[in-house]
Amino acid sequence: MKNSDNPLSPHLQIYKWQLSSLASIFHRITGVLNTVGLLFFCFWIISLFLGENFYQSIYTFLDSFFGKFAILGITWSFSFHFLSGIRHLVWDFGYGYDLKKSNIASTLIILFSFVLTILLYLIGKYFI
Amino acid sequence: MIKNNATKKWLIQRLLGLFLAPLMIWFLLNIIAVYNKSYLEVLIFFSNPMSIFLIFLLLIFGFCHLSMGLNEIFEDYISNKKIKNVANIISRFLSIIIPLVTLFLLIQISL
Repeated sequence: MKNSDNPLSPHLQIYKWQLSSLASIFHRITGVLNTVGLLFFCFWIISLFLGENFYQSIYTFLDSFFGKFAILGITWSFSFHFLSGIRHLVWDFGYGYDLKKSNIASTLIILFSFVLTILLYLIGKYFI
Repeated sequence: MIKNNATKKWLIQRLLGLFLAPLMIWFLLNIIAVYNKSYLEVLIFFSNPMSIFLIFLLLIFGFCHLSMGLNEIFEDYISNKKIKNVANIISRFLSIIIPLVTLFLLIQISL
């Protein structure tokens, strides 16, 4: 039997969990979350077009606890993807591959993704 | 010029990411500022010509970038070629249609 299908990447459950693999898979997960977020924002814009009554239902959601959680969630997801993306660019220039630097970078990305989330939220809420 | 297709995609994906970073920061800050405001206040933000221009860039760059990203994920985790191709076609089709419809309606709102 001829198998023309491409070989797959090893699936997640066979990895030994480490900082680097955690940061790497979360780059993808947050990428997908950002996609969901962008789709939601498109839906939000479309709801504005559909009129005030339609908008009201999204407003009710956004104004609730879950709405705030969703906004904070997408902000975090962007923050992580942004910081991790910067690291990808650094990698592309050939730096940051040794184990020690990689672990430090992963820790910083995870830590600062939360710092950036809080920063963006405070600036958006109180300065714009 | 770069001849290899994969290298070209790799470069475009990163360039789009670079452009997207400031656009997303601008967009998120404004969303955080208006997400639980009234219909009118949100309308004012979305019908500002500057907002429309930046959202135009954000959606075009964003959907290109995410469609390429999804393509990479499908490449890694879907082994069946047929299913992979279908997944790619659907995601690319939606990545064109959704931003276009959204931008069209956004312009309608502001008129």
